[in-house]
Amino acid sequence: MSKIPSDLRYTRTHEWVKVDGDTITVGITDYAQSELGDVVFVELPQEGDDFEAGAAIATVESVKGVSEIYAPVDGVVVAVNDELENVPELINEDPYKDGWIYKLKVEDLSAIDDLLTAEEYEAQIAKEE
Amino acid sequence: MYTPHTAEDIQKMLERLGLESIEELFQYIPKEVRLDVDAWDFPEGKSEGEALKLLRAIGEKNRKLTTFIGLGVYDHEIPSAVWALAGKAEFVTSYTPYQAEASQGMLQAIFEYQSMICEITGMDVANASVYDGATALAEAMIMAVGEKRKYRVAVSEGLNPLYREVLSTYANAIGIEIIWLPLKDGRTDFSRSTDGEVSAFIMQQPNFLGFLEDTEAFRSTKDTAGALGVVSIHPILNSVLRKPSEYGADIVCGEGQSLGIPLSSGGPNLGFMAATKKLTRKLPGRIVGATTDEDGRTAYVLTLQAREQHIRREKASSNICTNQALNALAATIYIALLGPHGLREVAHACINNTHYLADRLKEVGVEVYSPAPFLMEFPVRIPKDRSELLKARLLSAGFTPPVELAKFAMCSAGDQDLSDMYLLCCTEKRTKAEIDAFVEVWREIYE
Amino acid sequence: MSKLIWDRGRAGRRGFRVAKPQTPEVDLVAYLGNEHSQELLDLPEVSELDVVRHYTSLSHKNFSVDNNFYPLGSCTMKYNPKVNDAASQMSEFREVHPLAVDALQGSLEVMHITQEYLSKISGMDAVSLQPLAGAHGELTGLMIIQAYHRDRGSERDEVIVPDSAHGTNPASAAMCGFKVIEVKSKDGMVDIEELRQKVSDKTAALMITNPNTLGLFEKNICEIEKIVHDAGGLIYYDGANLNALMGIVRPGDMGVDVMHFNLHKTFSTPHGGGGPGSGPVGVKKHLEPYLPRPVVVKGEDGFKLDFDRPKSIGKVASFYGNFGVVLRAFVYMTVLGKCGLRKASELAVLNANYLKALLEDVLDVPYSEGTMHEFVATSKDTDLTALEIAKSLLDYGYHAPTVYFPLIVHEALMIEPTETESPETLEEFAETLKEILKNPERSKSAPHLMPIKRADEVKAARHPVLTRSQIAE
Repeated sequence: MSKIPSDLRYTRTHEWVKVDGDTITVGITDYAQSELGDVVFVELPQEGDDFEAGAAIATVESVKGVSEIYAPVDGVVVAVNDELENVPELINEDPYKDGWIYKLKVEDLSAIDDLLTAEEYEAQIAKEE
Repeated sequence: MYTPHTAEDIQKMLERLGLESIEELFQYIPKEVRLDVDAWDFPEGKSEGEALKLLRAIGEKNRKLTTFIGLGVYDHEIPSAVWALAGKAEFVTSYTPYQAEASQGMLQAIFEYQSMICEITGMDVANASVYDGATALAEAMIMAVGEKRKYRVAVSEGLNPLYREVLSTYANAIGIEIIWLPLKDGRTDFSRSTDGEVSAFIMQQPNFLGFLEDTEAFRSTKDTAGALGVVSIHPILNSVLRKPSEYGADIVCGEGQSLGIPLSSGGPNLGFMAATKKLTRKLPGRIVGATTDEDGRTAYVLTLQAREQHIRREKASSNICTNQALNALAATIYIALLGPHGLREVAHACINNTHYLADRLKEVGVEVYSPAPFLMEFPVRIPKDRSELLKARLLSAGFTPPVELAKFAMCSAGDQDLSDMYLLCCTEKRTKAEIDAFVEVWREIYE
Repeated sequence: MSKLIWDRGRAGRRGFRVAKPQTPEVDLVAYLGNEHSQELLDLPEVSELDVVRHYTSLSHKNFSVDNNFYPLGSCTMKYNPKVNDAASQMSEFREVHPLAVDALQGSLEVMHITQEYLSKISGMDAVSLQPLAGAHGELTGLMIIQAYHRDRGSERDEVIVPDSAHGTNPASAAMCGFKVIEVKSKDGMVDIEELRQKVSDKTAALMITNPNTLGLFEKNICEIEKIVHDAGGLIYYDGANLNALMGIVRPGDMGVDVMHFNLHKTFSTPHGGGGPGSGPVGVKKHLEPYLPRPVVVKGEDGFKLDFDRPKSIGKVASFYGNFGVVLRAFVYMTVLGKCGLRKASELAVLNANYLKALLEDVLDVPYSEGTMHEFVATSKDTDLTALEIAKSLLDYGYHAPTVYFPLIVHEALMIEPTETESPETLEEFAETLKEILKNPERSKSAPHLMPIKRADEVKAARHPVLTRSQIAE
């Protein structure tokens, strides 16, 4: 069973979102990392780039697959996890903490409310499995 | 023959399948589209001997000429060991090395090939080959556009005219605008404005007329523009020239046919591509990497596959799948046999022979166009009233006539009139006696 | 550890003697100025025997059709007849420069006859041999489709690709700037209802593989053709699986507008460890003006290269195609002829069906009805993954099937025996597979008998070492 922390929000495309004031931190879920397998490379966005909700913002590669990471809501990139450039396996080892991918500064925080709760996300992956 | 099945075999197999005839296996094909075999107009088969005899008869219609032309592919000496080794069935009849454990031979050879290409170009990474010199350049253009995200590139008209056509075909399909930089006194005029930002400056060294480009002008232009530098080189001549890495190239590619691959009426050739480390994941095609196996032994694998079409599908860095691996192997063996000294010797011999030819032709009154230093190729002007006769005489004496530049769809010598311009080439394979005999034909016409 | 070629050498050793200079030496230092380099490249310095031992020893670490049964699905690893090699060695063709157009009559004739043969086999009206591989043929075909629509002032920018298609299909379409629209499979075939919904006045083409990558003939092909054509789109046919159809049915008769051939699959030319291949493109009359330039035509006084093609998409390669590969395919078609080609396809289909039957007790084939030249089994219900089965087969001297493709079958094993294998080989292979499945424990860590054990692909991709100098870093 994959871990789904209850204090985070989720997307249908398997990103987790942590809200901290007007900034959100985004990574991929434990379920997503185990489906993808050993992560070998992460392509990160540039700080200052702005994205609309649903836009591809980063890519995570495993040996046999590649997965795009989408912006959960509109926002501007304020930080990226540079550590992943050298240690991409952090996404496998600690997807919810050291394996975070980027931080977005969000103008309209109400959009966060439309994201999935832990329970809703759990129900979604139960369906996929 | 090539199918082993006896009548009994077929019977036995059909019985196992519970079928009366092979025809039943095709029952899902709609009748209305089936081929009427009786009406099918295709010749009956031949024995091996008959087929070879037919082929030989056709082959005799080709003419064996002593080659004094190049423009992309060159008549170099090929050491016997190259194809004795590259022609081994274990290499020839294997597929792309997907199963690393059963393909260490080909994988290691390609790893060596990538290492050699990087050494020659001064780049950090190379792929396992693409189709030919022209498509390598097209892929490089696409890489540069992908990296810089501007659908405009500035390209020297010193590029091989055939490459110019291929580049245009790709650019037209993709929607890339090419800004052509004309030649001036035989070299690219980098002072020409590009009227806006471009993803790359693309040139060929030496250019199609044989002349050396000004590498510092190239470097400062692309640096000022903040664009990538893409250079197409001749891998042997480059052994006596500055490496493209020394003048700011980010992607280096070219035609590797000179490295032990026969002319073969135009193919198969070998496109090589190399780039700086930063662009590793933008390279198209297969790439071999070294790793270890479970016991810690060195092992070679196809790697960084997430770039490729079989994983990334419509988002892949290129659609390439099959490449020119066997020719890459041949090139590896060629480079190993020649070594660093041998490659320089071949380059020197090509340049010496070519200059000797140019000097001899000047002596007999031929107008040689040489506003800049040239290496293995150079243009001459042939007056209209002499060109047909010269061509006929050269052919009957067993020589290739010079390449008529005016016949190419995309060819320009900048400020020079091209209508009477022809291109000549001389490799290390030509003996002094051959050159002298070749010049003798010109003398007869020119006197 | 196996040495690299550099490690066999010693400074000063030479593998080939370049002829002594006979012409005067040009002083490059003076002549080339600062463009000149005196630097000696870091390349191997080895004797000829060093080179021979090294690459001979590498050749022993390589599976090949000449040594091993190679049922690699979608790749048609049939036997490559030796007469083809003999033909490709003929100096009459091998030593001719492509721009010596006055010396090329023989080569042009081979090209022209090959074009005709491919036309007759496919039912297409005209063929260009210029594309250098299958994916290159796809790209060329899509450029032709693009040019055709542009010429008619239409801005169709969508290409429909089934979810079972080869990765090159969507990649080629995207390279041409088309939007890729996926259509799902239903019961292993293109879902007709979904296709109907996805075609529109934006549809430039449908790319179809038939038999598809599950090895099944798209039996609704006539309906598919009608749906796409009625919407004003064209049909592109991926010729990867043509080995099932020679002399049986022709893409041209199924309504295909443009297609590519893989000479290195269907027409027995070797794969060379990854290439060179050859990917000629065939088109119907209405697309002929867009073929790449030049086209080989038969004139009154022999064959010629026709460059005067104002609507042509242009050149897609330096010269006229991978001629050495074309030559081999020409000999193959000449030797087999009408009956031989048809027989090859019949037996390719018989072999695939026979092998499927031999394996029916141990491996499930999810889409099994109407298997043609290959089938896709799944290891889902066994104790082993497809990868473990693949690696185990290597220990028995068999190359692995294609695994994990097509994507619509889990734990896929795509098996294509080809027509050149005997029933005994298929029976032995089936027995071996059964044995592997009976002893799953041993198989989990396979291979055991290869030059290396399983290679660490994760390490290779995380920390790429792509050249000799990167080993040291």
